[in-house]
Amino acid sequence: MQSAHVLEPASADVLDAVLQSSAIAMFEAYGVAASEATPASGTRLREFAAIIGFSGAQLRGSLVVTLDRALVEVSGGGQVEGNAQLDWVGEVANQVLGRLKNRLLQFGVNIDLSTPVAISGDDLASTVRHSTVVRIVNLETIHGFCSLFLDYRLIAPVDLTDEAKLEVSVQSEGELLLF
Amino acid sequence: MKRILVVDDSATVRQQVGLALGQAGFEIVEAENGADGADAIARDATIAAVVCDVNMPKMNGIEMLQKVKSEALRPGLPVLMLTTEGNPKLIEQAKAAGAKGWIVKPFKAELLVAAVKKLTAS
Repeated sequence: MQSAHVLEPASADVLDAVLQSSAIAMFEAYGVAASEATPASGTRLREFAAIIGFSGAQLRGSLVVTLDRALVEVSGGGQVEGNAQLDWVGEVANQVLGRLKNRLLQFGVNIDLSTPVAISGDDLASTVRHSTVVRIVNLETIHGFCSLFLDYRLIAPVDLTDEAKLEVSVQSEGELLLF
Repeated sequence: MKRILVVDDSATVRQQVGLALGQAGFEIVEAENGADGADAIARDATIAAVVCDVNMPKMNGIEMLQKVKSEALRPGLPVLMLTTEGNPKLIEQAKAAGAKGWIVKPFKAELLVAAVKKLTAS
């Protein structure tokens, strides 16, 4: 089914920027410097991938985060092996989408996240339904690449351009709040 | 040695939290969802504090807090929420259900250790 609403280009640009900055900040928190990848690096699924769904009154869809093995190992503190690698890839997707969720909440857009599912293998491939829009962010690090595919459908209008409309003060990542 | 219960559905996060708190001299026990966390709290009277995720399968962290409070499993047991959520409504829910603190992931080890030390000081 075709979406009844379309994200305006300016809001789509904000969504891209928030998704990219969320992923870069998440990796930085684990000691890995990441930056936008050059187009020559291409966009494809890497050896590890995690899929996490989200839904809300205005926006629903899923995020696929895919990483090279070395990036999984280093961002996980060098201690993740075997099944722990898949667990960590799922947590990476959870934390990236969690950051995105917290940013969207500031614009009054609330989404709930599902539990992530992680997979690994050679020659992973994916398909996308035509009823959704996919935003793609590619990052590179010295430990390998990470691509993010945000697949979404608008249920109701969303405006991410007017910062004056910021509605909610959200607690920042890494901050401690004691009651 | 004070015993800390770490409740998170990610084994890697439990390991990271356990490493940080273990190096600070705490003993760690683990649960992978709120239901198992509540069982551990009811079963083990030596648990001095809980570090708990929010979004988990079977029973989430807020529901675990509400169960612990409504069934008076361990009145006064300090619970620190450690989650990707920064939503003030959820934070208020957790506070009302008895949580003593909130950290949005990723966490800084020194901050987590300081918070747990403060919550277990008395």
